[in-house]
Amino acid sequence: MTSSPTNNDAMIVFDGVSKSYGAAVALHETALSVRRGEFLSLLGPSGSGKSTILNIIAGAIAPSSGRILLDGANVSTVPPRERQLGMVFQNYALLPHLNVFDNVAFPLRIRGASNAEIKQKVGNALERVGLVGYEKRKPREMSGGQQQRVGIARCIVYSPSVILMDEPLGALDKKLRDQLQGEIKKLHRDLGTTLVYVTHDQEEALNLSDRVCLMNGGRIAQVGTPDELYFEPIDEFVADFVGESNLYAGVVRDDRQVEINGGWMLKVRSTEAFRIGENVKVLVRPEKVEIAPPGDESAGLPNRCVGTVSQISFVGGMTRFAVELPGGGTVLVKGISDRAADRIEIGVPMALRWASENTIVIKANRA
Amino acid sequence: MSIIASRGVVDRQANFYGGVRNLLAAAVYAFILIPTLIVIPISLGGQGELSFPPRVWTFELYGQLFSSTSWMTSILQSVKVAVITTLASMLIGIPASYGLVRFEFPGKKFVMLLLMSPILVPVIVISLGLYLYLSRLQIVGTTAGLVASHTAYVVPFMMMTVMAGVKKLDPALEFAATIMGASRLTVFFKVVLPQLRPSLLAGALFAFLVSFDEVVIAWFLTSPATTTLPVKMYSSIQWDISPVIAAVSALLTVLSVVFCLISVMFQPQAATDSAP
Repeated sequence: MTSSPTNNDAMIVFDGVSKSYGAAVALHETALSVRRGEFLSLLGPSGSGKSTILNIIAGAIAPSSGRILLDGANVSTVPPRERQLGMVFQNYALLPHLNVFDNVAFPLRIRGASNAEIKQKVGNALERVGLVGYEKRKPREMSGGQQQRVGIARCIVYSPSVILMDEPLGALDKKLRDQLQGEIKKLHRDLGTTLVYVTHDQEEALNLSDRVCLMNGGRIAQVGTPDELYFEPIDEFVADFVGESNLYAGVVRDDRQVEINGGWMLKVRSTEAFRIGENVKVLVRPEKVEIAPPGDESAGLPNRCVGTVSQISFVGGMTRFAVELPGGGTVLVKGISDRAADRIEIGVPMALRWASENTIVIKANRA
Repeated sequence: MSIIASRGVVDRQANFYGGVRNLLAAAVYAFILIPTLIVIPISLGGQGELSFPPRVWTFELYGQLFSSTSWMTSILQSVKVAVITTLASMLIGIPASYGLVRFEFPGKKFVMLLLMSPILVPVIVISLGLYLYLSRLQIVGTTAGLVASHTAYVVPFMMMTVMAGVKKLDPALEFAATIMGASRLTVFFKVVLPQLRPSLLAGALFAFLVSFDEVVIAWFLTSPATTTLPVKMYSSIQWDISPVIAAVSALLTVLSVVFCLISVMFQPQAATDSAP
C-alpha cells in the first residue's frame, strides 16, 4: 500500500495501519489523512472498523501494522496521555464524585494550571456549552444532554489539537440530538480544531462533516464530502448506506446507455469508468424522479416508465411513493408533500420520468 | 414460584402462603439472632453467675470489665492488631484488586485461586502452618507476627469486596482521564479511589471485624503479653468462667451491629453513584 503524503496540512495520517485479533481482522491496511481543522466523520454499520480507527488514534488500541502520524510526528508508540488529544464519549464518562466545575477543571488541574486560570477557562468553556450556573451540580443531577455538554466543555477547556468524539449523541433522543448537532457544528467552526467523529447515523455524518469516511467490513468504502458520497457513491454499498436509493442491476451497452435486466434501456450520465458489457448497478435517487404530467413528451427527461402505486408514506415535508413496474421492480419516488397528492391512491397508475444526468452508473458489489 | 405467581391476585390462598412465609422467616431470624442478642440482657445481670433472665439489672459487669487491667490490655491489643491489619490489608489489597480486575497477565487465574486459598483452607491448618513458619523466623508471640498473619488472612476478604467494586466501575472514565493527560497514579488516586469509597469502607470494616474476632490464628501465635480479646475470652471460658465475658460479648455484638449499620448506610449511595 502506498503511504499517504505527509504534508503540513495533514493533522492525522494513517500510513498502512491495520488491526487484527488473531485471525479476525478489525481493520484492513488503511491509508487515511485528516486535514488540519477538518471535521471528519467515521460512518458505518457496527463492526465496520470506525471505532477501531478512533481507538487507534486515541491510543487505546495498538495497531498491528503501520504508522500513525499526529501533526507530522509518529505517535504509533506514544501512550494516550502524551498524544494531546481530547475525547468525548457516548456515555459521557464524567466523574460521578465531582461537580460540574471540578469535572471541567480536571484536565487543567492535571496540567498544574493556577486557580485563576482554571476559574477563567472553566467559565469560558461552560459559557460555550451554555451551562453557566450549573457549576455546583453533580453529573447525576443532570439530564443526558446536559451531561454531554459537560463532557464537551471538559474536552475543549484545555484546547486539544484534535478532538475525538465517539458517538457522543448516541444516547440522546432525536430532538436533543438535532440541537446538539447544531452546537457541535458551531463549536467546530468557532474553535477550528481538527475533529474526528464516529457515528452510525448517516444524517448526522452528512450534516456535520467536511468529509465523511464511510467504513464497511474493516475497510474504507469511500472518503469524500457529504455530497460526493450522496451524488457520486463509489459502489453499491455506499449508494445504499447513504440516503435512499433506487438501485438496478444492468449491463453497459454504450457510453450513454445501460440495459437493465429485462431489456429496459436507461440513459445514464456516463459509463466512462466501465467497459461495454460490464455488469453494473444504476443509481437513481428517489427525489430525482418526477411524476410526469399526462401527455408529457419532453426530451430533457429521457428515462420514463409507467407503473402502479403500491405504497404511499407521508413523512412530514416529504411524501414517498413506491411504484411497481409491470415488468417487475419498484421505483421509489420522493417529492415535497403536496395537497394535490391527496388524489394519488394505492393502485392508481403513475408515469415517472428522470434525467440521464441523475442516472448514475456504479460498481456492483459482486460481479 | 407460587408466591410470586399469586402476588397479583389477592386471594385467601395467597394470604395464607404469605403468612406462612413471614412466620417461617421470622422463626429462622429468631433462631439465628437469639444466641447473639441474649448476651446483652445477661451482661446486665449481676456478678457471680451467667443466667437468663438476669435476677438483677446492673452495669456492674461493665464496671468490672473496664477496671480489669488484663481485660483492658487484651482489648487494646486487639484494637491495635485489628487497626494495623486493616491498614496493611488495604495497602496491599486495594492496588492488587484494581490490578487483577483491570489488567490481563499470564497466570492471572492461578493468582486469583491462590488469593482465595486462605478462605478455602481450614483456619486451623493455616494457623498450624503459620505457627511452624513463624517459629522458624522466631516471631511467634510478637504483635508483628500476629499482624503479618492476620493481614495474610484478611487480604482475600478485603479483595473480594474491593474487586466487586472495581468491576462496577466504567473503564471509560479511567481512559477519559488518561487521554486528558493523567498519569496512572493520578488516575488511580483521582478517578478510581474516590469512586470506590463505599467498597473501601465496607472492606475496611470487614477486615477490622475479621481480625478483631479472629481466635484460632491468634490462639496459636500470641504469648501472654500479646493476648488478644478473643483469645482472652476463650481462655476465660475454659479456666475461670468469669461473668465479665458476657459484658465483652455484648460489646462485641454492639460493635458488629454498628459496623454493619455504617456499611449499609453507605451502600444505597453507591447504588445511585453507579446509576446512569
